Amino acid sequence: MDNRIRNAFNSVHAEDELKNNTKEFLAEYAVKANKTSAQRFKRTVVAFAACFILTLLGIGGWRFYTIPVSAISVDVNPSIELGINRFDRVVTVDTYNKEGELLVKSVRLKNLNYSNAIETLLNSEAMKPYVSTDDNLVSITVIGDTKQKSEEMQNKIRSRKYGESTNIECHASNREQTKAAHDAGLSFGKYRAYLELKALDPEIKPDEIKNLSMRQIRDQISALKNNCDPTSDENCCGALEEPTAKQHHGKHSSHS
Amino acid sequence: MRSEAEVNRAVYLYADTVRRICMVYLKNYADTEDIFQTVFMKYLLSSAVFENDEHEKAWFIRVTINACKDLLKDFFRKNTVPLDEIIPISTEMSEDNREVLEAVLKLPAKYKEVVYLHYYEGYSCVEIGKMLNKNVNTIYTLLNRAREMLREKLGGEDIG
Repeated sequence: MDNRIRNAFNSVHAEDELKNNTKEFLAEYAVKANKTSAQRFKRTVVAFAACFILTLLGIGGWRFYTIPVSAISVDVNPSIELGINRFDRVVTVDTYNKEGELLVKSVRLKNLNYSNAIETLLNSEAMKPYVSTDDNLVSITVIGDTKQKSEEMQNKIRSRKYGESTNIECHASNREQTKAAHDAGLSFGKYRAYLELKALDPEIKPDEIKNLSMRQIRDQISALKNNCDPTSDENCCGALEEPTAKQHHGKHSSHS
Repeated sequence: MRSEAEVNRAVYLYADTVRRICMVYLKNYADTEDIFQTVFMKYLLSSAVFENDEHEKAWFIRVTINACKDLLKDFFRKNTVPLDEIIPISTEMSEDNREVLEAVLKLPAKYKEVVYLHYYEGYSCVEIGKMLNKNVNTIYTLLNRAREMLREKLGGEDIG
C-alpha cells in the first residue's frame, strides 16, 4: 500500500503553466525590487548628504554665532567683559575680579542683546551695592570689529538709561590694548583707566589699581591732574585723550 | 536576494513537491498559484544557507505547509466555499493512482498531511512531529488512524 501511495503522489506534477507563471512573476518582482533598492540607495545617499550638509551648516552656523567679534568692558568695582557676536548678542562673559565673579553668578547675560545685557547687569540686585552710592561711576568701554561699529555701539549704549547707575562713562578702546590688559589681569576698560593714570604717575603698577573701583581710579586721575603743572612737566596730563564721551544723568552728575 | 538562475533551479527541483503539498491542503488551482508565488518569493528573498539538498527540500516542505495553513486560516476562506472547489486530480492519471489519491485527499486534513509526509516523503514520526510542531505520539496516533481509514477505503491491504 505504501508503494501505491508513493506511486499515486509520484504521478502528480506541477503544470508547466504554473511553473512558467511563477518564474515570470518572480522575474518581474526581482526587476522591480532591484529598481526600488537602487532608488532607495539613491534616496539614502541623498538623505545622508543632506544630513551631512545640514550638520556642517549647523556647526558652521553655531561657530559663526558663538565667535565674538566685538567686546564690551563694564567696570564699576566689578570688572566684566562681554564678548559680542555678529548679531550683537552676548556670547562670552569673563570676569576680572571676585566682585565680577559673584555678580555674573546671579545674572544671565548670554544671548541677550548687548544693550539689554548692560541694562540687566546694571539693574541687577547684585549690582545695587556698587551703583546706588552717591558717587558711583560706571565705566563702559567698547571695542567694535570696525571703528564704525564702535561708534554705533557707544551711541546705542549712551542712548539708554540704566536705573540707579547715574554716572556712566562710555569709551572706545582698541584691540592692541586688550592683550596687554589681559596680561596685566585687568579688563580692557580698567586697563584704559590705568593707562590714563600711568600717564600722570609713571610709577603706578596694574596690581595697585586692580582692586580699586572706577570712582577711586577716576578720583586719583583728577587729583593728579589738579596737582599737575603743565609748564613744569611736559609728560604730565593730556597723554591720553579724555573719555570719548561721558553720559551724566541723575542727581550726581557733577562727580564725573 | 537570490539570482534568477537560483530561483529557476529551485522551481525545477521543488515545483512538484510544492504542487503535491498544495494538493493535500488546497482545493482550487488559484490558491495553488498563490502558494507557488508565496513559497518561491520567500526563497528569492531568503538568505538561508542550506547544508545539503535534503535540508533545502525540508525548508520548501515546511514553508509550503505553513503558507497553505496561513491561507486556510484566512477569515474569508474559512467562511466561504469557492465555486470551483474540486479535488484537483489530473484526468491523465492511471485508475489505481487516481483511486489512491482520492482516498488520501478525502481524509481529514490532519491525517492526509502525515500520510503524505510519511508515505511519500519518507519522514519518520519524530521528523514529522518536529516539522508540524506536534507531539511524536500524536503523529503515531494520526498515522495509525489514517492507515485504518485507508485500509477500509482501499480494501484492507497492509500499509507500510
